[in-house]
Amino acid sequence: MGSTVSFSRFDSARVLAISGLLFVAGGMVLGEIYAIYISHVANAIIGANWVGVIDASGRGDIAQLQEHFAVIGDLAAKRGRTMNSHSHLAAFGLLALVLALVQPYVDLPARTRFRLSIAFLGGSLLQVLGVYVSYYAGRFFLYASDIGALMLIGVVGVTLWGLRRSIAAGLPGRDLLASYLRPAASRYLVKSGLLLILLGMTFGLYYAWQLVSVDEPAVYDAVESAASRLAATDVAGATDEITRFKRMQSRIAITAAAHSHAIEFGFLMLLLAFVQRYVMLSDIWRMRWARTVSVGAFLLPVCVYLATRFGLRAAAFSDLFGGVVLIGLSAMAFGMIRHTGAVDGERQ
Amino acid sequence: MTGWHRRFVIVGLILILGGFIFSLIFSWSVDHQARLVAHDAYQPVFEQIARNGGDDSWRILEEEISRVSIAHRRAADVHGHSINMGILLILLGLLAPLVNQADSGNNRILLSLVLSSVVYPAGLVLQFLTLTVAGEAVSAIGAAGAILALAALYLRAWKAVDTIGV
Repeated sequence: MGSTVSFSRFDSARVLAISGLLFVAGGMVLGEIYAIYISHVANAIIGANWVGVIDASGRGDIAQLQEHFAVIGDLAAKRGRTMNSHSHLAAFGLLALVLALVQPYVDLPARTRFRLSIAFLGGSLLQVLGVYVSYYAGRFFLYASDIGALMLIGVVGVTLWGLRRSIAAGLPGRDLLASYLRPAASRYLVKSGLLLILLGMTFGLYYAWQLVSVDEPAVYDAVESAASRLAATDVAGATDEITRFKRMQSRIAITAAAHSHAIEFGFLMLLLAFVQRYVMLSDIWRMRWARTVSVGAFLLPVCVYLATRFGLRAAAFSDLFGGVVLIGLSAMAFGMIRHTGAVDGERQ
Repeated sequence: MTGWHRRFVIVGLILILGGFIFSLIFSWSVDHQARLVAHDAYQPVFEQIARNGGDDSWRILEEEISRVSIAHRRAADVHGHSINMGILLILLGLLAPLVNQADSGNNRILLSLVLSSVVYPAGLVLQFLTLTVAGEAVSAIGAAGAILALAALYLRAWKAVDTIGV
């Protein structure tokens, strides 16, 4: 059993690391599509239909009300399934990269670890595609996503089992870490990644307090107030309240996204730190791409949060910085693919 | 893999596994309803008002739908935060050798990180089970503990990051 990620052909760590990077990149592309083409558009249409609900309800027009709710339900499902796919694909990418780092310590035969890595790949794709396709092709695909989730549970469970006798495996932790952090870009990414995680967690704690004490009660108060005013035939007042309801819902979702994106980008930077030595580029270019990822990773969550105050102008910048991270990530993936090609070439 | 590295990785994987299993059971229990759909599921309330006007019977429906919406939010929080704390622990396990583990202060920091990472999602589970006040207190303690321990680890590891690989 190797003491570091060996990246040999048919190696579980290689499958997990490369698929992890592709999943993260795929999740980010899906996130950009979600933000630009679905979320912004769906929010506006859903908001307009909520105003229509109040109007139809005030006139006692049940058929019209049901039509508005059909549009809201359809768009909410489309938005929910797409966001679910985006966040899960990126999270599976992070998890694959984490599992790649754990592989040297898993006390199982290489063939079993390789099969587990393929099962992880298959389970992730089944889960994500099952959820995404279910919106277009029916609920049957949700059960396919459950099978994917069960496969992932199995992989993590067996990996945990494989760690039970791993005390003596591998290099001493300090030597292993020293080998991971040899490139300057690795050390830069560790420092910036930890800082971003710390900032994201601190912001999360602040926002959790704000959420439970102010924002969440305000959301449910707004919908209750809209219904009360409507029952009292105050349609104009009900429209104002339902607009506040949607505004508060968006504010909560966007702020939570700023928190989670900061932490996930921090994870990504730490993970990228551990694989820099497999990025077959010069030190200067490794550092440039590390800084590119870092700039995007720090500024994207800030711009996402600013979208609660400045709307689509800030959201456009968050999309831009998402693109910056993607460019840096793609450059690193290119360097890793070069490395694996070189390793295979040497073996032949 | 020895000591803190092993503890961090094993507790991290257990948290990830717990987050997966909780979410799978929850999604079965709500028949895979998307969280964002739950937030907009007030149709019965407005239909009731359209039919019955000033009648107050819609209030029970509204409270029930809001309760389900909060439950969906908390369930998603348990799922996401368990997995994220698990990933964080595994990554920090790899970085644990950056600090001198013979130092009792460093050991306390590492222990705090492990405990806080478990306490935080446990608090969210309590909130999901509608033990709201206790859950909020437990999760706040877990989150604050994790942040303080991570900040202390970050400060202590700062110089070691520059020297370990050179």
